[in-house]
Amino acid sequence: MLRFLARRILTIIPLTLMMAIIIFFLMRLLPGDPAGHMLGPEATPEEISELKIKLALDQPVYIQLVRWLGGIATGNLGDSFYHNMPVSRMLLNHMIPTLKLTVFSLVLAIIIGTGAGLISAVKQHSLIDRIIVVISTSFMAVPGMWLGLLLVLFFGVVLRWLPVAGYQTFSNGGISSLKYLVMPVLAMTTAEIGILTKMVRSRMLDVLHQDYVLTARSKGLPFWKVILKHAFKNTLISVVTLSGMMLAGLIGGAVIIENIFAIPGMGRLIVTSIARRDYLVVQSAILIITFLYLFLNFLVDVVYALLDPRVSYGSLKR
Amino acid sequence: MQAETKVQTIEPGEAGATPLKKRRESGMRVLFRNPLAILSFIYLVFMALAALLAPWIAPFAPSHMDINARFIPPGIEHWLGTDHLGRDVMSRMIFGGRTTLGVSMAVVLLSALAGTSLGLISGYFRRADEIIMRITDLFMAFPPLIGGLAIMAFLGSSVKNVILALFLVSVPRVARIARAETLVLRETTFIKAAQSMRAGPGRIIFRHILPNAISPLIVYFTLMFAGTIMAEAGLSFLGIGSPPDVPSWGIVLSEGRYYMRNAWWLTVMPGAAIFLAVLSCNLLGDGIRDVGDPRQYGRARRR
Repeated sequence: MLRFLARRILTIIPLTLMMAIIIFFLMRLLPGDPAGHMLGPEATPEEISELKIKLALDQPVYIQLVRWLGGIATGNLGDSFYHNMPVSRMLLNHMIPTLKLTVFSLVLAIIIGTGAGLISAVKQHSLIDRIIVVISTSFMAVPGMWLGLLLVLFFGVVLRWLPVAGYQTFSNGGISSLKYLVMPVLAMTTAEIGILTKMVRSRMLDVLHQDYVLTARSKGLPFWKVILKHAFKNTLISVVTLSGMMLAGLIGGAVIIENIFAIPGMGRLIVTSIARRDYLVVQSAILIITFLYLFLNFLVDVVYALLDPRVSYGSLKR
Repeated sequence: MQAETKVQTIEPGEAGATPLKKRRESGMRVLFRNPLAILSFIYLVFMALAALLAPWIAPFAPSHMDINARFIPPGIEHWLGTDHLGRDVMSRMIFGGRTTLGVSMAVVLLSALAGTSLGLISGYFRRADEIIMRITDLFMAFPPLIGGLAIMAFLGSSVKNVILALFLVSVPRVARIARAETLVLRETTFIKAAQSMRAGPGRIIFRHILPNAISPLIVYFTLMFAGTIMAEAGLSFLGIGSPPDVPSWGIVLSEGRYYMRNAWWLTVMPGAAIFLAVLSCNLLGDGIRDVGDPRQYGRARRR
């Protein structure tokens, strides 16, 4: 087990390194001169060359690359051009809201999606099954940004139950800080609930038709015991696999949702920094949010390995 | 030609599959029995036509402003109302469909072509596999929207760049699926038979593997179309997709949100358009998937 974990961690490192290199070269795609681009059309040539020296843009590409990679390793990612503040500190500040949104949404999606899928499969062809299928199919197609806006319109503007936007840290607001997360989390998680419900339902139906379930039933085990102990346990493994895939959608969703609800997370940082041409922040933030995604995926893999005795710790899934 | 017919007769015995032609016929029947899929298909065709014929059917020009007609609620003259500049929302949505659906179509077609080719090559030739798969691993390490965002951030907003960004995000995913299908098919007896008859790799890939791998891929393309609509709208909504002077559903939605309090239709309508288009793609994809699933033919099949 420990060897599996160590190996899994070791794959993250080269992957992050390669991504850092890709992002580095993406930044070179900026049309023309990055320094001129950052300063805008009114910049004088002196200002541009000064910035070039500051960003080491006057040096050969490989030196720049080494500096960027070295910066990542030591945590010194340079200073934000707009805020005059170390990029690393900005990233740390913005990471927590995004993590909170993603993890809350994932947990909520797993609870509701698994529950609904389970009920739907056990009561196949019943009215409740049909309702769940219709709802989950519609949920899958709901754009998170639209749902977010509709929630604001309904609960924020019309009913005035929840704040329309904003964010509070837990240490500042305590329990009431959660009020700010309700609508963003709902907007992010709805599509994922739909996907998970559908998958759990079909997986569960597969399992329920297997011979060992029939055997358990014919031995006289009560129905709910068969469902929970035999069928559900096997479905749970697919839930964990799916959670890893859902993370991609959730992290992308967080970027949009943070911008609607003015939540100071990574997504909002990236989008505002693009608008401000603060490219040092953009490249580091994209690297960190991708790293976050890899890390959460790693945690999912750990849970997976713990749950499924069949996972061989030696070989990695391809 | 003789070899060809022999290969074809071996094929049906494989994995209990019915011959291709027969399967296709009953496949159409299954699809026609599914009214939701048909309805979705009709809706998508209708949307595509509206987008194609936009200059002729839109009641107003998308950027035609009328300061005296600001914030008119949906009614007889403006079916979907007007926005903060007095522009007709319906016309903007019809032209927006051009961008959103056009970008999605381009992305799906391009990445289907490139991704399927890469997947087939990767699945069939062991040596290419290692290289192609390591590269796709790398690209897939970015969550899709973040990858698109990263590319757009540095390329700048334009319709061409959105297509490029979403293309780069989708290709590895298509390649993955095509590869998985190829790997399974490569080991089947009818491919081995074709190989033993000295059929070249080109012939095997295009005549034998591709036709058998295509149905799961088509399902994926339909779902990918939905995903791309969502991604295009998302990027435009964030202001880094198509430029503001090109209407897209995401941009109409994004502009409308500031006036949500007094003009609900500016938020509801473009979102509903995205929702319905994505829903139709998903339902159509489900319908096509059922066609490919032999369990739908009424005979129980053990896994």
